[in-house]
Amino acid sequence: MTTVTKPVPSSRVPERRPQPSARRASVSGWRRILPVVLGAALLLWILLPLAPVLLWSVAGQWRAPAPLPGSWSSQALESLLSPEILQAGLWSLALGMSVAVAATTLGALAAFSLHRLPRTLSRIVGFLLLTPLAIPPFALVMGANVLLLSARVPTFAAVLIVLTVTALPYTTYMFSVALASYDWRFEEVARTLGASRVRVIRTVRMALLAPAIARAGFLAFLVGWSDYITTVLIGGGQFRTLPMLLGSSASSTGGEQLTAALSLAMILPPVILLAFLARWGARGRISP
Amino acid sequence: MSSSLTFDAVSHRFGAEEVLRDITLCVPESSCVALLGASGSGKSTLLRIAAGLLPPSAGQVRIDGEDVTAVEAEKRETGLVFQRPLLFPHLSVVDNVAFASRMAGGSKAESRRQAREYLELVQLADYAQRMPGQLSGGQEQRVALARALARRPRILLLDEPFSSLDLGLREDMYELLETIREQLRPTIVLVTHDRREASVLADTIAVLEHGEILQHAPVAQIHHQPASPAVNRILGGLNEVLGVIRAGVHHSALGRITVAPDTPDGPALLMPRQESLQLTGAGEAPARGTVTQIRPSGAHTLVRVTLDAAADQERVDVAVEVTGTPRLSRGDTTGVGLRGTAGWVVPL
Repeated sequence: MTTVTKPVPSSRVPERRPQPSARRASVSGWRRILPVVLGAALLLWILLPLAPVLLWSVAGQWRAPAPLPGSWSSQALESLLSPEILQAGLWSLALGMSVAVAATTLGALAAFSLHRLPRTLSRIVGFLLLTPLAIPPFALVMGANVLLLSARVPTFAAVLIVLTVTALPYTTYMFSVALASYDWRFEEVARTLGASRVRVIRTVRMALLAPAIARAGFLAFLVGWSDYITTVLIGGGQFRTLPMLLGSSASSTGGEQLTAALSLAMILPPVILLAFLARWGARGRISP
Repeated sequence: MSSSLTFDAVSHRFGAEEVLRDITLCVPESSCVALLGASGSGKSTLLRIAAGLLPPSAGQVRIDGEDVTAVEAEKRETGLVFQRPLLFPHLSVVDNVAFASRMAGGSKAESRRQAREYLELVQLADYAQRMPGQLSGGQEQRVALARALARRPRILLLDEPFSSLDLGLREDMYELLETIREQLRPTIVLVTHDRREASVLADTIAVLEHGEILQHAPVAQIHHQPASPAVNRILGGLNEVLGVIRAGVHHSALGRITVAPDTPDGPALLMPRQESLQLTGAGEAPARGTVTQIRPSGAHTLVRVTLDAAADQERVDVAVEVTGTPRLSRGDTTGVGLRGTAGWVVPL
């Protein structure tokens, strides 16, 4: 036997459904709010671990389980101005900048070469360029150390070479991604407008690839700026960088204030650089 | 500002593939030639050779008779506009247009002043300070045109510049190009696959297929006197009526059509355009047939008719374009006749 359900006249339906326009408004409201909520959560995720670092850097005494330091002191921050730490900061900066310049230049050249190779060969070479990422840093550095020592390469140059090799996969990848969507006809148009090949590179190619240059340079800077293993093993203590001081401070007991202050000294320069590069990349600073 | 452009026996190969074969074409000063052909016919390659972006495998490119084949793109004084506007995204609209002047060593202020003149020409002077991302597609293409003109090119090369625009914008661009032609009288080579665009904008059309120029002729002539069935089809002609020439008259299912008196006797294809045929009463016309298809197309209707053929004649289908909607249905009998008296044939 078949049961036929009669449709209920709409006037008798007790529940009130939201009007389509109201539903749309509610959905669009969520669409507006959700990114803000997610953005705030992400910011909190990044900033929250910094809170104890900030507090430790200005703490006199801070005993658990107190939520805040018992006394305050600027001693740790003042110690950042000591000649030893300033010297280490300069070494780190020199290393970061040198790696950024070398790895960004080589990464760009590698990506341009890969772009011109036949697809299969390009994939093989691209894969080979990524291999430094797959090798444990310790093994890579030990192997390179033997080679560089026997070649009598100066210490700073040796560290720079190894770190450039480490950063190269990142920079090459950044440029490869940028070149994949790069329209070469921009350069052709520029040439018909009277720009020589050199001026095309300066006024068009570099300007259009500015965001990729900024990203690659920043990543390579981070590799040099924050390196510990390579500087310790290959540098052999001939020059001391901020990560070495930080490692030494963090491994000793009772030096939380200095460790926190050094951590802040490690964080601030990359953040400032990132802000500068973001602005440079967005504006496009190169004009004819 | 304008010059003549000549391709002299230009050929080009990509590896083993020959994409251009012995192209000889002359574009007179201040004229507009459309290179019409399907994708892969070689028309864009020819344009790149004209711009100096690609050296030909053989042959010469001449501007005002001077061989410029070895002259680099930046020194060739051509202006190039692609299908995509390709405005430099890091430069404002005025700086995009001022680019050529800056490259020529002009000061920023003077280059911008000149650029504003060209922006006025394309009616975008008010948008000078905007960035390209803030423009619509049509506005971007206008700026691209202004940028190419600001180079003061001897030859303006347009590579399907309007094909990504919608119909309304395209009509606006056609008007703009007409204004530019009136004011600056540039020599233009236009690459397009749109035969209507070629007909509206160009003085002459060169039809390319498989890297060869099949025919180069004034717009009306190439439509009504195609050199081959291929040209007829590329130009949108739908009719090829097989028949025999005897004493300057083409005999076919379409009747007896007078052709050029010097046409040799023998088999020949009569190629009346669909617009050149008309439907008449079945008793009035020398040819009769049965309607097989009626396809409305806006203000016009395309009627396909299978002509009655004599025992010794091929069965022939013809297309007739009529204004409005004809009072006919499929299966009806109708007469078909040629407007005018003379037909155009290609001997076989």
